[in-house]
Amino acid sequence: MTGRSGSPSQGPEDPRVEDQDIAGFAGNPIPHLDGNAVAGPLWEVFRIDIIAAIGRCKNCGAVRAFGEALVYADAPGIVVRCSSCEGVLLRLVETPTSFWLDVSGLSYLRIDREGQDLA
Amino acid sequence: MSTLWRVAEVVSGVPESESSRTIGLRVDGLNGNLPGQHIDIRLTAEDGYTAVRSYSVATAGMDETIEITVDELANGEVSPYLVRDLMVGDQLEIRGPVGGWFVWRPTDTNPVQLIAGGSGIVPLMSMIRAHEASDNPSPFRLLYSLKSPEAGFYRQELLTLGQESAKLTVDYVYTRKVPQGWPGPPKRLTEEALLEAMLPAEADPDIFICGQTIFVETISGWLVQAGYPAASIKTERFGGTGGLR
Repeated sequence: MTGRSGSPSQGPEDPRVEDQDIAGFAGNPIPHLDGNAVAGPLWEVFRIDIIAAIGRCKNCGAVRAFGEALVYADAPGIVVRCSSCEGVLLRLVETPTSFWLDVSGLSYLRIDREGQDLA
Repeated sequence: MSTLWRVAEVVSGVPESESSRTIGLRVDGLNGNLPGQHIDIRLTAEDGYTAVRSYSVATAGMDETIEITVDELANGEVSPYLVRDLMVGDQLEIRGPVGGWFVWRPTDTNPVQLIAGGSGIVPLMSMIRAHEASDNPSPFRLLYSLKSPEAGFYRQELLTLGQESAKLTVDYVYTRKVPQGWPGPPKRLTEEALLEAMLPAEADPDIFICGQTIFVETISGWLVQAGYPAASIKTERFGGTGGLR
């Protein structure tokens, strides 16, 4: 999320492996979170909840809920990628004085006007 | 631009398991949360350095108090403070509750399958509590994978609900240590055990999975392979220090 963070990679040398809840490993060297994980910062920017909104990926045309997107938060900013093609949908960097927001990877967002009482 | 951060007062702190604590937060003017939502907590050091982390809300009321459960991470920047040092009467900066996607609403009519890995139980507990408090008759089924009985959150409440609730079924998988009298040794969740503990695909369940990234990805992969539509599966991963706890 917006905190300073460094997510160690998973691997056979990783002592935390035995703490996993599950047998077997999927190949996923760069951990990501779900769209939901950026609800806070995006609420700060948009002042409405866009996590349940439907967005269209400009790269591949997939139309999916923002909550389904892949979120990479272990960086100075947040990168949100399409879960179909992994194209970049949105980038957000917070500085002490500004938000830098790039939404050029989204051709649109369709936001439900109901259900905004509880963002 | 005004801020959405607001001050929460710590009103309770109760150990939830060996390594975790449930913390009650009161926020003036708060109107509860949707089941499954989270809050962001911001800590600011004297030198101005800030750390923000997300924590799922465990409760499902409509008033000014919410509860989160924080699991202490070794080498964590925020969780050791929240679990060990934070005192009743302290104040925290919070944003939210937020997130309108990984949520269950009492007006939803489908059966619900919940799958929790470790502390992934927290947002699912909010859904269970909201469901129990409502007259929504849809069946809920929870599959809870945990290391040992002692590592369980909301243990007594879940045992009681599992025995007494007519609309909730609870299944456990113990990965390291089983309770006394448990049939069989500890084991990790397998595809076979997962599918045995699921509401059938024909029942058209809404599925919520919360846990570590690898847990969420493996399980959602197995479910899609078994014929559960991807669109019926909502996930909340945590991983790295910046993720949801």
